Amino acid sequence: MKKNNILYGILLAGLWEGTARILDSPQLMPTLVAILRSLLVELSAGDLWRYSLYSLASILVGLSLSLVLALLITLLSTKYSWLMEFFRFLNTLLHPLPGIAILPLMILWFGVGYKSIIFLIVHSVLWPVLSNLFLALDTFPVTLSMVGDNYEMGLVRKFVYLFLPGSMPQLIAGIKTGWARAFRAVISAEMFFGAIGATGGLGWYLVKKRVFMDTTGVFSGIVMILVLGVLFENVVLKGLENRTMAKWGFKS
Amino acid sequence: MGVQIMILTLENIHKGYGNQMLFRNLDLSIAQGEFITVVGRTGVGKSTLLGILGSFIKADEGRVLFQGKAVSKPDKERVIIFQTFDQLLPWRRVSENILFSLEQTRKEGFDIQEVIKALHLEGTQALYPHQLSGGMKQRVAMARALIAKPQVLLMDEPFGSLDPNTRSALQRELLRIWEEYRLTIIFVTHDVTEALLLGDRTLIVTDSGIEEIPNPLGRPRDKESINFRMFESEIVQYIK
Repeated sequence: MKKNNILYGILLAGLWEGTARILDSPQLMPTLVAILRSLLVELSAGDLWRYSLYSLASILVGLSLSLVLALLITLLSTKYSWLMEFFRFLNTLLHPLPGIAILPLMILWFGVGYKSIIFLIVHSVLWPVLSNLFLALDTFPVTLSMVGDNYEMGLVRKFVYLFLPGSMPQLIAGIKTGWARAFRAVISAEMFFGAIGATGGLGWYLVKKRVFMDTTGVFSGIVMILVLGVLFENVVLKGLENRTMAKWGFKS
Repeated sequence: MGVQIMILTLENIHKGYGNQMLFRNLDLSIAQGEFITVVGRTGVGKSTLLGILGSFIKADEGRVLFQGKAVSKPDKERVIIFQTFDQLLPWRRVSENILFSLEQTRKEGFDIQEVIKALHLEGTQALYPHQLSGGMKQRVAMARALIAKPQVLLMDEPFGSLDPNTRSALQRELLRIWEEYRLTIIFVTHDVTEALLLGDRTLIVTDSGIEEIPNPLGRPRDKESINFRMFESEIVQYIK
């Protein structure tokens, strides 16, 4: 994390704490200390972990499914140009469509439950990843493709050995956008659906805390979402970038 | 003089882009082990000719014969080396880039250490392409091509982006490799001096077709010698 970001964080925390103390209304704006205390209590009780893991597991399943689908569509699109045209058309139509807009349809099709959440995540992730992979195809160096032809590589070998590593910047950018959209989708769906199965996700946790007027609890859930987002971005994605793009000279 | 075996033959090739016709009824035979250089103005069709010889570009009419057989797709025996540096795989280290051709072709090639030594790439094996200079990148591209023992090297202005010193060094190394491995090389360049320094025969590509000029100079060649200078000025006049 950049030094400035830490400073901004401290400034924001100071502002929050100051405003909360001046307002002196724990129901509307609890102090940071109260939020952190509530967060620690929820974490030590194990509930917040359970809800977080549930949401994360849904996101990972949806994200993985979307990645597999996007790669498969891209692979087939390298062979059939009409397929690429078709998916570009679909992408133009469906990419801007917010996940929450198709929630009622998901309920009609799959009912209230896990299937609907996964479908929603796939919808949220597939299009940004696919448009990034198509961009990678459009900008893939012709010389590298010719190198593949020269060594008599088939479609799949060219895809695996040349295109996949060569498209890493666009793939990571797609995952970045996809992850953010998946998180939004999953929280919305969980808030909409309530508890699913034995437990529920962070969305359901937030709804429960709101119902019981537990403002510090609501903030603990929000802080947890923020922390998971920052960790994924700075640990998982940064790690992937450092192990690939930075090492290969795709990024200064 | 023994019978020359023709490794690459173009028969009655026609090729054009839109209204511009580059080649009409082009016939060309290249003997095994020959070093052919190709010169001509920009846009006259030098790279297209190389593309047709490697089957990367399809002719409108005519046939390409490789070792007597008609071919229509690129293959591992006719390996192309480009001018641009993006022909290396950025995600592979130097040694992995060199071995790429062997992995993909599953051919019994040369030993990697021998190739690394031949192209003076010692100490760079663990580096990634972005950590190399332009000259080193071209050496790696040559090493990758060479290790899989191709029959023909098609080189599209491979030294065009290099500084004069690196270029001279690589020209000398290429000649040494050509003599040692008895390869057939077709080398496109816009530099007449380079073409005459390297080639057994020079193809001059013009708007009206291709003129073949055998090189009368013996080897090794000295580009500062009077004979070389005279031959060079003749060719430059011809191209003009």
